[in-house]
Amino acid sequence: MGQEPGTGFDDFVRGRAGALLRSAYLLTGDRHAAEDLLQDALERVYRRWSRIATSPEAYARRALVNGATNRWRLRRRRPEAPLIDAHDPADPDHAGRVALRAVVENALRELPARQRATVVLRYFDDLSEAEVASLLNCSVGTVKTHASRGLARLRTALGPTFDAPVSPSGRNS
Amino acid sequence: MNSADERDIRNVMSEVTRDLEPSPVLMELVRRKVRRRNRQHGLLAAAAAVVLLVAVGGVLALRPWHADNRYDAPLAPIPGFDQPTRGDLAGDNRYADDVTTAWGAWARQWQVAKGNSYRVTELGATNLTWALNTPAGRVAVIEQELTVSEDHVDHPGVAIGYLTDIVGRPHVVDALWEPLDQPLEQLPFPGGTGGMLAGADRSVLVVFDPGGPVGYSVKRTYHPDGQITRDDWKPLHFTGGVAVVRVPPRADQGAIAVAPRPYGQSQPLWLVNTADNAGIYQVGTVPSRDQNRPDGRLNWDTYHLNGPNPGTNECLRLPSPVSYPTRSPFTDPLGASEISEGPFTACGTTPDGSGVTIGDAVLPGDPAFLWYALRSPAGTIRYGYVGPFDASAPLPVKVTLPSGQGYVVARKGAVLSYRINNGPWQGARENAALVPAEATAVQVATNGSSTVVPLG
Repeated sequence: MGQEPGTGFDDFVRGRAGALLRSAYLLTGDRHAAEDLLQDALERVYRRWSRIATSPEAYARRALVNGATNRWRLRRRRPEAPLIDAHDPADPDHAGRVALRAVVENALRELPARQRATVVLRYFDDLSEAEVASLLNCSVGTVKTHASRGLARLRTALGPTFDAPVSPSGRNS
Repeated sequence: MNSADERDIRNVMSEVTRDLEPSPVLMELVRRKVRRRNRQHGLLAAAAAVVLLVAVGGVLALRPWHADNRYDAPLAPIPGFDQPTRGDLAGDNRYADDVTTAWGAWARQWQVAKGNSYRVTELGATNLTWALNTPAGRVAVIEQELTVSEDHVDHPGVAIGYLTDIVGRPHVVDALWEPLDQPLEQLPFPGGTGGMLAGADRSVLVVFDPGGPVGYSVKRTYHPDGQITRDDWKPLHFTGGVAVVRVPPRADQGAIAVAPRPYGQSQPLWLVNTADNAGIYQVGTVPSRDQNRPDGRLNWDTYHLNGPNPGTNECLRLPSPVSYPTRSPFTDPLGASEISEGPFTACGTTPDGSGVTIGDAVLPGDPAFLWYALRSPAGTIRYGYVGPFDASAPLPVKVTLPSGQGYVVARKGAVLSYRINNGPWQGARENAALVPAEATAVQVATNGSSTVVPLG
């Protein structure tokens, strides 16, 4: 390992860890796996900081995507577990969000990994098709295909969710 | 597909991630990972051919490592794949057939599983690496060649299955597969399985000889200041390449650690079959911890001890075992060290102006315990390990704070009041309360009945 990253890395983590965690969650469909994935990605960022300090986010996103799609280990299916959130127990939106989350998790899991990554990068992280192509090391045409098919599959899987309000906030109603 | 769909997908993804926040000690966790990786480099550089591959028949340890943790060698056959079975059951053809059958049924799941990032397209020859008797029944390690496809590109690999007897039959209790043409940096535990627990009750520890001195520990020692040590190390003695020792039978053996000697100088060995997963492993898409297993934590909420409820935000500003900014206490240095905090937290201010937080937490394999943290007005943080609790007691949480700062008492749904000697009941508060050091008893009132619990 080279020079210690110093405060630049700390600032990067403080500023971007939340967004990266949310992406990681959508990439894995699991809160704990997302935290592990984020830690792994940030560890790589940390070790390479001297080389990537000018664009750490791109490197971190690449590490997230690679980590999410290159999981060589046997995946162990455990009983579905509720997420443990730091939520306000009195939050009336919480139950609706938990239910919606379960639906979205299942829908995302049904997508092939690269399709899922494309949907997350394109529609959650708002990256351009060219940026997604660069991250996934594929052509823009492939990104378009993945995005189109992924959206269609999600649209089908989430159809009832789109058709009914999911929270008192009125979103999707 | 139209923009409305895209907008809907955006909205849904934003909605379900809205309240996800990273751990307050993410930075420390990352740095710990870096330190661990650095230590691992040192270990691998010093003993690359030693550590792990004895456990799996020498699959990966013979591969060259670079200083930056890259594996960069041409694809090679699986080393040792054609070696004869080791262990005292090596000549037992019936057992070998049973293991192969059990493993085969398991491994074929890889070919039909939906939703995986990778698809196993071909399963090849198997090799029974280990077959031995233990006091808790037979155990076996089996390897199998396989081919995995990603985006129509095939990757050669090796699968490794771990089996132990459950109800007299070999049963797969863990399995993994490793690519033979990918950087090992991708792996969370590169080839790192050093042993397993045998039997349905996990009462026997089986460790495969890593080629150097190794010992084991079966319990953590919790110190009053929150530090955790392991003081019961015993050396392992290998015979025929394996060490077999009895360990206390428990449903969850997460407290067991196996590490090279001298202890603390290098990473512990990875063990399999340490939790109650046998029989529920399937090929799926959710790599996660065993989140649903009850671990004794209190399913309570966040309370303020002497301010308005809920005190969530205020509590989050106070220290906890996982929010300590520099070095976390309650960390098992050589075992499964991931602490899980309960949802129960209570916080407030003590008579000398210190911030106090208490809560419960658990480490794998041990009972849940209560902890507290005090932050003095000068900013000094002091932790305390209180110990296990009885969730069914009238007053499950009764913590004596140091330096005469009183007691923290809590029970979800109860109204708590205290008295001094034979004085009147006072300070009634719901769920959790900070009571003065002079208090001699607490009254716990729930649903029309009450119980008096003495203090001191």
